[in-house]
Amino acid sequence: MNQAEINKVFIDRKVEKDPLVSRIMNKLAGLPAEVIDESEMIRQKLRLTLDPVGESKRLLFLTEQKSFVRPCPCTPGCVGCHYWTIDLDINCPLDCSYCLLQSYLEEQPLTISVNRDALKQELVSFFEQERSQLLRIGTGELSDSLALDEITEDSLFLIELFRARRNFCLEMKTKTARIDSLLKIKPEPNVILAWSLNTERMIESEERGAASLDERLTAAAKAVSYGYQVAFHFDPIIHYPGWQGEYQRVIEKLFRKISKEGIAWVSLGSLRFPPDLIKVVRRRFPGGVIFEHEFVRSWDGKFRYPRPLRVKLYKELGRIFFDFGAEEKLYLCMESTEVWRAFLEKIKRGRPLSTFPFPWLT
Amino acid sequence: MILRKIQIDEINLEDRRFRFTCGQPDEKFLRSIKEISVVEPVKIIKREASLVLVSGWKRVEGAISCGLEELPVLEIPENLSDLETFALAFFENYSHHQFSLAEKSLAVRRFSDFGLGQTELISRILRILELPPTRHTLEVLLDLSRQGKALPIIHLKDWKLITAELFLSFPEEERFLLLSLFSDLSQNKQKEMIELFYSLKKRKGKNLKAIVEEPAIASCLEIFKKNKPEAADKLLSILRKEVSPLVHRLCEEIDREIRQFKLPNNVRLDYDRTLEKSNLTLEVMVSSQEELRETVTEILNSLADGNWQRLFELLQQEIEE
Repeated sequence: MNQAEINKVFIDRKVEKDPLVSRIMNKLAGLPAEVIDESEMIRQKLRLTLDPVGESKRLLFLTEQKSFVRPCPCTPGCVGCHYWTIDLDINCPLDCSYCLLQSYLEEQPLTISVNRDALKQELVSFFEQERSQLLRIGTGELSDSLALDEITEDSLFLIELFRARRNFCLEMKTKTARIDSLLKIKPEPNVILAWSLNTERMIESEERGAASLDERLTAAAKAVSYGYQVAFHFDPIIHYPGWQGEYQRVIEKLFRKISKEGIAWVSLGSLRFPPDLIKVVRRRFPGGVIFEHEFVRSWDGKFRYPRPLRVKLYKELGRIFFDFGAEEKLYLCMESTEVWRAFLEKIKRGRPLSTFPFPWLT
Repeated sequence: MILRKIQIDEINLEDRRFRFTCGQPDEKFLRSIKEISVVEPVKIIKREASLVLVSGWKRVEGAISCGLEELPVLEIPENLSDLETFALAFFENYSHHQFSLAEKSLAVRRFSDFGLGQTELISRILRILELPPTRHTLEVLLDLSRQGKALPIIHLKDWKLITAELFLSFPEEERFLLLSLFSDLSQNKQKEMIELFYSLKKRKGKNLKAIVEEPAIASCLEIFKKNKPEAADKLLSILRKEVSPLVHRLCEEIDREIRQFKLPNNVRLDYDRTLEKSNLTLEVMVSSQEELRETVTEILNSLADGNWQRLFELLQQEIEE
């Protein structure tokens, strides 16, 4: 995100004097700023626009929040992956057609919580709770982890807190190539830089504002050669004519640039969405077709591809990873036990499920 | 305001500037008028030397239909602006009338035509109408208010905003075609038909006319002309199949297999028709231990033929592309 894409900054009066606000405003010098008492006025402003979701990505709101760390809610009936989230920034400057934040966040500007002391306290007390296994925590749930990083320096702040916390793994998930600041500090083994990947065709048509596949893979390769572990998320996998060949090419490209030893994990998740999202998508992306596929309303109320098709998608990508000897890195995101079972039977070649489903957590 | 009785033909009913309700007098309403005439005065205002009806359209139409010649009116001071007068008509109805989406769209149109600003419309009127207070909703309602032919159906079937929004995304000539196909259907079926046609159009990259000319749908439309309700259900079923071909195909195969089973009459086989689950459900209805034993034995005997295996394979089958 560059400064030109943000139109205006709103500052919550409660944090007006916070040093981080000054630092951020220095980086955004020249942009109009307004100190406000109520965020509702931003929402009202957005409601008067024809595209509140699009406009919300051009307004920055600096504020504070009470708590940051939450268990990832996953979805009822799915095999969870014991993930936790740090909801530091809310809303994302990238504009992916399938992003469920479009319906999940109502007229929410790009929101940065600047009360870092509170975050630090919360994380320190979180770290002090006894954990018997490695715990993954990520910042990419309600925003792209690195899209606003040049302004917020979230990553540097968090990495410092995670340093030497070996049982806690920080994952920063992005669709950008903005890792310059991360290449200036010492990489930590428990800090994972992760990229969401898709085919070039899908990136071009569905991921507005995101880096190209080559840019993402080049950044990931740079991160690996600098000493970071990386992760990849094939999510959402989209079914369209020619998908097999195109996903195959993405994975081949990936392994041409990065060896499997540098990869911590890879998730697979197919396109899914709550019913509310489709009306927003049809309005905002009228030329789009990915939401006009065959879907079923699944157990949690979300629309998903029919199970046999999802299994096909996962197995096919699993097969390609298998060919690169990297099938152990895979897990499924927000999938039912039934689909997991069908996937593992083939990919893990009938191996016992004692480590099911996350071998690296044991 | 002045209360008096006037001849109905003194009111210029051609001037409908304040009308936004779509209700027509029904049989009960007419019977009431026949019994006791119109008791509650309608509201009128003088405009350009004629009397314009502000509220009470249903009563006036009922009175005309019952052959009344005069009715009580409350005459609003003519120095009230059109906006003030319409607000009066609107809020009078608001307190005792559940507006349909069509009526809400007409109310918003009137407020807008009479000069109420966009911010006020969005922040105040849309909230009052219990609609999302956004510019987008406003645009949809203004567009909807121009759909002359569709408005009576939208009113009658009590459409929701999301259905109207999707309907408006079709070009005008396609909207007419849709109306001709589903005017008699229930609201849910109308909504579903719009959804299905929308999806098919996008998926096939064809216009609606080309889609309804496809053989399966075209043959259904022929029946449509003869027996509408039945044909509409058939059309819906064809469209569902077109939009969900994989699940339909697999379910048909499974159903076919199940039909070949020779199970006792008190056993019912079922499965999840979304295919999210790949297991079978057996419902056994028995009323004694003996009956249970016999039924289980029959089920066990049926395991000897290969049908069960085939059924489980179908439920767990992998698709090939």
